Amino acid sequence: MELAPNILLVSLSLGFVALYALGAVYAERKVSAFIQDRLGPMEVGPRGLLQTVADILKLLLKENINPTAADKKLFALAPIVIFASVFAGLAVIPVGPGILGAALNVGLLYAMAIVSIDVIGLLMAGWGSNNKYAFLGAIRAVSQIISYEIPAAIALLAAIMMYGSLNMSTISLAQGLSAPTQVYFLGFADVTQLGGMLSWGVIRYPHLLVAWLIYFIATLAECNRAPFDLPEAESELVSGFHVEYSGFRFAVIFLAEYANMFLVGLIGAVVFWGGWATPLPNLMALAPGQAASMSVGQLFTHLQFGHLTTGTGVAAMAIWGAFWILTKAFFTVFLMMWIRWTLPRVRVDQLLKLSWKVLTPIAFALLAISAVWKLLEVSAHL
Amino acid sequence: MKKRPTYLRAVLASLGTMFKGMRLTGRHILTGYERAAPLGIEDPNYFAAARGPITIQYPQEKVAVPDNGRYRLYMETEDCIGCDKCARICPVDCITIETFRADGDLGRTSDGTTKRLHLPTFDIDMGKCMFCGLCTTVCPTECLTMTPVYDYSEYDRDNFVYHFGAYSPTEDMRIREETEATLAAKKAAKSVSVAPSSPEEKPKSRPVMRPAVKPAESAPVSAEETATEESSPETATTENAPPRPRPRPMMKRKEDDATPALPVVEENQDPHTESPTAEVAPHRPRPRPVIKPKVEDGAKPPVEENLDSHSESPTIEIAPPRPRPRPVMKPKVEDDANSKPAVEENQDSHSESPTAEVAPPRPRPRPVIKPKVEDDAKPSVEENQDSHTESPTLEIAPPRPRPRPVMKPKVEDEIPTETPVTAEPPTTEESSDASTPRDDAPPLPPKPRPRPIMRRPDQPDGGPAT
Repeated sequence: MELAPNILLVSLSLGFVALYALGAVYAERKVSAFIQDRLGPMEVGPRGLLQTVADILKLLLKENINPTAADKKLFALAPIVIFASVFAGLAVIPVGPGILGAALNVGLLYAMAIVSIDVIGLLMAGWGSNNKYAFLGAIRAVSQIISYEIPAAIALLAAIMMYGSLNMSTISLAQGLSAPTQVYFLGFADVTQLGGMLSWGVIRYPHLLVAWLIYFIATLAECNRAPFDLPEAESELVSGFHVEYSGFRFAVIFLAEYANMFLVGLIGAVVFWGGWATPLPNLMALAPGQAASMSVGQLFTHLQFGHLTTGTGVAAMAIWGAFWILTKAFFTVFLMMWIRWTLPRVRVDQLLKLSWKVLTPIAFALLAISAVWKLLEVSAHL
Repeated sequence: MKKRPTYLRAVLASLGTMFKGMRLTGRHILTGYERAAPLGIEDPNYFAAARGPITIQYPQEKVAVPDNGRYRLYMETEDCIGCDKCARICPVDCITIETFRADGDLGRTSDGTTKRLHLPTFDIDMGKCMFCGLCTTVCPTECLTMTPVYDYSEYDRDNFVYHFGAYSPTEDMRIREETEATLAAKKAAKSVSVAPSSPEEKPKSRPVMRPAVKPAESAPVSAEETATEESSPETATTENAPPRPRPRPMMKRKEDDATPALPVVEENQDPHTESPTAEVAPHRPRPRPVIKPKVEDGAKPPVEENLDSHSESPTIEIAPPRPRPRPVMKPKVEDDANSKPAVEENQDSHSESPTAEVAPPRPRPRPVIKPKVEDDAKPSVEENQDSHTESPTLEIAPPRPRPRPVMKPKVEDEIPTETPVTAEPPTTEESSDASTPRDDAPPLPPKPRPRPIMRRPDQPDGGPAT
């Protein structure tokens, strides 16, 4: 039985996600404050660092209020479903070479599917609350998430076609120095030894940059983030599907929301931005023993940044891999915050129009491009 | 004009505007840690384009205020000569001053002006103040100043009244009595030489008169009033009637009562007197009540004049005892009171009536009077006492040997107790304490006088900041 290490892994990631959520909430408040020329939380701890800790402590001490007219079972179950689905998605994310909870061959499909269960949780929350605002918010959430899953999935499909695998580990490997096959930048330049950013999906296949854009916009909607935060539109729905939640349950929903941002950021990093691969390239190739006979200038031009920032050995590679992929995911989360405090909320018709009339057609076009590209590349390098 | 954008152009345009917006907000994110120190309006860079957060973390950071800014008032009690100019120029009547004449000089202010008036009460109601700064402009000794303190919120509106008076209630009463006694003695000596008949009575009346007059000074008196007062002194001298100290209670009330009540009183009186001008009717027993209210209200005329007028009026009253004026006065006053301070007026009327009854000098009446009149009644009581006792102790200085327990409870008002506490922010607790223990005369728990000045903006005083 390998239960014990799995439990340990799950506990570690749960703790990490909780810590991340604390930091993300703090970052969100700081980002919004800076964008609005404010200071944000400043009172609790140095520069307000402990503000979210204080907030979560307060939430945990609060009473769980059950609305009289609520569907008690659904109401109580919804936060668990929401968070569990998001948290389960983390199982297939490779944090380093070989470091992942479940090495599924259909890892990406699983991740997409598991994120969609989130919708069920939202609907349970909105319906179970027996509150018109919550219900409206849940309806909006469901409609928009289902709508935006299509362009997101097709954009991912365009990338998957290039890698030829749904396995998250394989996808990650294909974009790094340890790629099992030759890596061609733009289809002709062999960058297998160079590594770095040039072997990342969005750089090797520039059309995937557009695919990533579509994926990113779609995941904004899936996470109910501005400018697609209609399910929580404060000015219309108070706070949407979780308006009736308080205390620990509210904290769980909040945690799930930020964990969801983190998850889609991780998936985007793995599929488009090289996963745990380092962005720094190896410079000129270096033969064994050659370094001893080179000057300082020559040494500099032969620095192997790629190898230096990937590490050798399991532990070093795990640490470097975790560092790079987390950096990428965190940057994605930061981008989501940045956008949230920049763009105004769209209307429902704009939301659907964007999905069906813009993102989905472009995603299909990208799918076609990927197919042709892959065909040409394979035939060219036979 | 423009063609309708094609599909692709619309997409690109929306992307472009999105990135434009992101760049704008991104700049703000990058400047999030740039902060200029909060600048005052006098800083040349005040209008320069700001970078970074503009939040001012108020309790820790404050915007510099101009040197000549007008914020909370402060009064340097040592330098005040009690001229009353600030109270008279105040557009909102937020300054209450009560003075009485000292026996001799009280020393000099820091700019060399001689102080001749005791200053038992100098209250500034910062809740009313409109920060025009006129009072600081007219202050001859520059003892009244605007400080840079602008954060002095209170939970109790009463705490906005800052007490700058020189004496505690106990001190106040004692010094008054002593001063009046000495002055009475002096006058008695004078009057004896001047007036042959009943020298004893004369001296009594005058001492009473003076104290009453002094408080009146503070109140604004119209020109007519002053005229009547002037005329009255003459009449009084002629009659030589035994002076009696009724008018005083009125004086105190003036301060407390709003001006509105006073004008009404005057009118009522006028019908009685028929022609209030001094020239027309010098002798008239009735005018008394009229005179009192007038004096109280607008004690504009110089102190000396007021004093004289007061002295005269009482004399007149005593001579021909007439029942009319009082009953009439009271109801009238009350009516007037409807506008504002009905209670106070009523008290005044009570105080008056007892004084009239008491007329024959009796030392005892005090206790009775005090409870009724409480705040306002004080002066009248004192006057009576003075006339009765007449013990001329010359010591004006603020020796406190004899705190009179009885007096304190009566005085109640807000007059700071003996201990001139260093500046302590007036808190509700303090106020409540002060109000409760009046009957225990001697060493009352010293009310912390709220001295606004004390708090410096630097200090994290417990009061307002949080």
